[in-house]
Amino acid sequence: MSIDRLRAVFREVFEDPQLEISPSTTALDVPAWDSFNHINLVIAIETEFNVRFKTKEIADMANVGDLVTLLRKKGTDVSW
Amino acid sequence: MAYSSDAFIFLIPVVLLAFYLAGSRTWQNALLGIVSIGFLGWTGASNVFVAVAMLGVALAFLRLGSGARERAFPWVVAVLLLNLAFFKYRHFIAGTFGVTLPDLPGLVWAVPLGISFYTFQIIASLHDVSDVESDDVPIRPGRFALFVLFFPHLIAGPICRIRQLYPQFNRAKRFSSAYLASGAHLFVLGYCKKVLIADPLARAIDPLWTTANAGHLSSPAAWAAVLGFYLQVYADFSGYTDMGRGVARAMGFRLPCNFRAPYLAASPVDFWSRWHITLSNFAKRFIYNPLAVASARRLRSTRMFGMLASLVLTMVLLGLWHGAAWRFVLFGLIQGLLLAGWHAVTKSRTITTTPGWLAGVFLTQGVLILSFVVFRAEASHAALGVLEALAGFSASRGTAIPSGLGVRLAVSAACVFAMQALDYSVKRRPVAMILLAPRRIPLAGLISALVFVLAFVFKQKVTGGSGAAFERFIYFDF
Repeated sequence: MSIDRLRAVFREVFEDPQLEISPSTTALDVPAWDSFNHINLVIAIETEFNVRFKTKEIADMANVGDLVTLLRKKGTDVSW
Repeated sequence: MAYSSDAFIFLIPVVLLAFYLAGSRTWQNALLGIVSIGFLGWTGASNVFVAVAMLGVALAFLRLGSGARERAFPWVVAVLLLNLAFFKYRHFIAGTFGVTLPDLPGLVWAVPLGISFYTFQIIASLHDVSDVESDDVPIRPGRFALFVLFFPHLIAGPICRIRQLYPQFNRAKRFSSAYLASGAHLFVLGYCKKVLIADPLARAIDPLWTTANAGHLSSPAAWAAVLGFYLQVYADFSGYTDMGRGVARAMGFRLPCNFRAPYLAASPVDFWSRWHITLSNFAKRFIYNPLAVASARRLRSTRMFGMLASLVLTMVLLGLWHGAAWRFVLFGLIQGLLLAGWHAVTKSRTITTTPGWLAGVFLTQGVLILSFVVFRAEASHAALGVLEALAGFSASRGTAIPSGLGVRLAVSAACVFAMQALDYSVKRRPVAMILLAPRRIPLAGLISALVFVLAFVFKQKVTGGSGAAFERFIYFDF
């Protein structure tokens, strides 16, 4: 299931092997997810899924649900 | 015009009444537009000319199609920033190269009021305008101009997302006693912060800072000056924001909050998520993100270095935004190094264990207070002198502290920290809202009105009509 790949990226970037993600997960739910580490997440996702985000897309990800929608728009097969 | 000025206090009920009597969206927006221009031009018509010129550039951009907009956006940003640089930084830039610029013949080009804020406001909203258009909300030039010039946020923010504020001008506002009451509460809170805490502190410590600039401050006086400024700047700026948000709310508009208990922050990261929040968000989106992503993509294996350098540079630029002087650059550099140091060591935002949190607050606030010395002292030798005096190495023993300043500092500190404790949690409803359960509105309104009258009378008594010097807010100068 390709959400596993995304979950693995989150767990690695935020150094939390127990981290779970859902469509409504936001930065407020993950202690290490601040605007500084957001860039680590963005780069890790770009590398894992071979996509590239625009500056606007990077700033406007409100939650993981939005992120998955965006990844699907970019041609990946991520799904819940 | 300042919100705490007597003129504003007498004019705003008239404006509110006219606003609700205006009835239709068109008339309400027209009234707001006229009031906003009057507000900006109160201290000089040139303030209006410059703002309108930049709005003209923005409106020309909005006429373009989406493809042309993508190509034009960097040029529009360049024009806006060059305009800001000309008015605010030309002497600073020239001075750095050892050149003294003459003043332009026949013109006294003071820094236009609000220019730092509306420059960023315009850049952010032009970048985000497609968000609003994709919500099927067409952008009308007059309404966009009103969104930028809207007087509750024009001169010193909050910097608003166009998607949050622009649509609020699309409907007529019906009178609501709940909005009027909560807006009035917020306004009174801000007024009290300004008139009862910030201004009296400023009157007491400004002479101390003048002495500091001449290098003759004693240790106790240095502590009084520094702690006084720490409390003053919060009360002044958050008071301004409360008043602006309060007036907006009384008319049915919601503006974002700018402060969330910053003096209870336990880490530099925590602090900058609580202080001048809308400016931090602007800097993250438009300065840090592009720099960090570009450097992280290029420096794959050493991307942490690129991200940290981007962070420091962002804070240096934010420091410089505050004013055309090296002390602001240094303040930004210190804040950048603190943030970078924190991120280099940990992935957490803050400290959650109670003893750790207490230690974190003590250290974070302590370092912040020291960095405010750099911010406030007008020259490097003055800042060094103050820091030495704080550490107990003062050349002067004799600077007198104004009588009663110790008590004033203690009471102001108690008020500031109590207010911030109430504000601390994101989920906690503002005190104003708690008081506004429908059956409590009349009582809450009465209490607010009484507090306001007392503060107003206090201000008249203490300033004897000469309060104009302190009616300016610190952030009007940025």
